[in-house]
Amino acid sequence: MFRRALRDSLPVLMGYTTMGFVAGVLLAAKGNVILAPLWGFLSSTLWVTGTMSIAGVPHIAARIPVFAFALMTLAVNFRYAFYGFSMLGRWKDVPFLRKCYLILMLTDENYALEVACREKDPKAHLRYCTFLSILNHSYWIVGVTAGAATVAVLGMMVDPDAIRSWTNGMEFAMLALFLVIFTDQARGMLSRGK
Amino acid sequence: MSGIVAAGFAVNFGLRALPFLFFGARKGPLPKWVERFGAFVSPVIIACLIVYSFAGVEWRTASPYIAAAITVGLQVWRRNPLLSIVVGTVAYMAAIRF
Repeated sequence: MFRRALRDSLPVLMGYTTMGFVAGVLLAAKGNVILAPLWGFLSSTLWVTGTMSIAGVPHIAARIPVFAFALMTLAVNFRYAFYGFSMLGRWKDVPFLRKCYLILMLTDENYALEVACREKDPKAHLRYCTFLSILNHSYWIVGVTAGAATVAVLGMMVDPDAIRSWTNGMEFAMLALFLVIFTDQARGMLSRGK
Repeated sequence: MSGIVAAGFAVNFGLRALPFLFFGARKGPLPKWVERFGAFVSPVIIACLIVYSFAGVEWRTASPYIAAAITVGLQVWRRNPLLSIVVGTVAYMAAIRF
């Protein structure tokens, strides 16, 4: 199951490290915070959401009130409230803390892969979800922290814009991942209809 | 800043935990409509994510649509997710550079 999770996580590796890098660079360059790598590390560990890590930066820089930031997150990320419905049955008997971690990691990409995994054995499926969550979590943390650290520490030597221009377009991997999963779902529905 | 991090954590985790708070404590099998809703909601969400992801790429140009067609075509033909994703992404990265 670990090898399967690792293989399935490779497209996410491309997407999360580059998107995370962009988020980290933004936070350090435009976030108007001191110790940007630390905040990048904490927010990427605890939020695990690209949308707010990127879209939220101007508001963090403008010192938006905490309440307004919470409200904005609620509006932008409301889709997360629906993801759990697909996992309710499968995660019914998972121990509390492990379930909390899996819930924390219900990102767009994790959700899509966990739903697409047709493993029948509940134990094996749970192992798959756990490995996948840990792998993708680490990609995201490394991406954001590295981006913030690059700007903060090496900003004088390495031009972050150059790195961003090389990797420009790699974010398509996320869209491609969703397209592939949707294609397989559609094929599944068509063959069942026959 | 620590307040912002705490708020982001609370809202994101709270949203993701919502279905489990409502139905997690229930003993016995889940109601039929919840299971049906869970099965119905996943292709709808994936379709929404696809539309939403186009906003993150150069959707005003032809590049992402060509790369998307290549990705879907390869997936229908070869059924190898990694191959479809890597070739599609490389095609997109090449397309936006010309």
